[in-house]
Amino acid sequence: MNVQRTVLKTVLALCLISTLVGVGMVSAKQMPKADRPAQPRVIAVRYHADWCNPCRTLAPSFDKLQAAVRDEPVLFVTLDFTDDKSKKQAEYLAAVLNLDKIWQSNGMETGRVLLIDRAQNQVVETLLSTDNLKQMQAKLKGVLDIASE
Amino acid sequence: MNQRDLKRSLSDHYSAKTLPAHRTAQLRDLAKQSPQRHRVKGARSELSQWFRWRISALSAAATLALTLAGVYVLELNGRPFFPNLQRLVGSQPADIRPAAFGSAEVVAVRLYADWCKPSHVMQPRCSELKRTFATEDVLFIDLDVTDQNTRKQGEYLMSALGLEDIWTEHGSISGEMLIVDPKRKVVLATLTQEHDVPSMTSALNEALFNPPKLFSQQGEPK
Repeated sequence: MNVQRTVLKTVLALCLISTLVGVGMVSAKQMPKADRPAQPRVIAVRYHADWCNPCRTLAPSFDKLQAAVRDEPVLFVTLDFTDDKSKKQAEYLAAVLNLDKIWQSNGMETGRVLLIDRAQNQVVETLLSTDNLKQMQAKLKGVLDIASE
Repeated sequence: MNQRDLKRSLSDHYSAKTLPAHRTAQLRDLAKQSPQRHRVKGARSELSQWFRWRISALSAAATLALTLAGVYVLELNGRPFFPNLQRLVGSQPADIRPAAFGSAEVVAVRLYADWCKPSHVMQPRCSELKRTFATEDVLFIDLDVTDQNTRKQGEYLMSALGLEDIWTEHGSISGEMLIVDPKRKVVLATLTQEHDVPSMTSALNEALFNPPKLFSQQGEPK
């Protein structure tokens, strides 16, 4: 009887220890680390080409928009379609950012900014060169409200 | 023979009514003996025998716990001990990146800051490198770490690329070019102002056409 109890206790202790360690590991993994790099919630993709007129009007407002919403979790990316080299770079960047589907479905029309909900990987809004800064900010704010964590 | 066995055998024998007289007397004598003394005597030998067993079991448990604790600490420090443990534990967010990582075999990440002299030294070399490798499968990324706001953009971009660990490690250093394998998420080479254009070119060539067979940090490439 003593033997059985000892065996039982040891087995129970082992189970307890491994359960505690396991639970600890899982919870530690789930806890967001303080120094973990933040993920963007929205990606603003600018389709740019040096030879396109709307792009030239869009460029300064894009920079202004970036400065205006710098506290929001928005990643600003520019895809440059000026020449073959920059287009190739743009392709790679889009693929790496998981934007290749969006690229295919939205074409390569330059002179606009797509606002993409990163979690859903969908285009929510488009900023045009005719929009002024306030309109752009309002659109971005709307997207940020919709975009999930 | 302990108390329970004794009782059982006694009752068995009494119910069977086949117990010879001398055996009954013997059993009664046994029962009359101080039960406590009987138990202590038996238990002591058992205890001493099984205490050793318990010690070995406890030490085994302690070893297991220490090993697990070590792994746990290593994992917490972001240095995966078992490469796929993080995936097995399953608390990592779902990977929304595509299975195919574009066709960029290598990502060259340049970290620069306006106030950083090595960055200024490296800038023309990097653009020359970019021109040289324009037709190869290299994605060039420039990360501006001049101030908090530009750093934030760099952080977002690197985490969107799934290279947040590399950002954690290298994001605070400017004047560097990292040659990154995007599939295995490892830095293959770190180029600084000490490297001239030929050595940078050869490093990038090496990464592109003769990548080292590293121990995969994030498991096999998808």
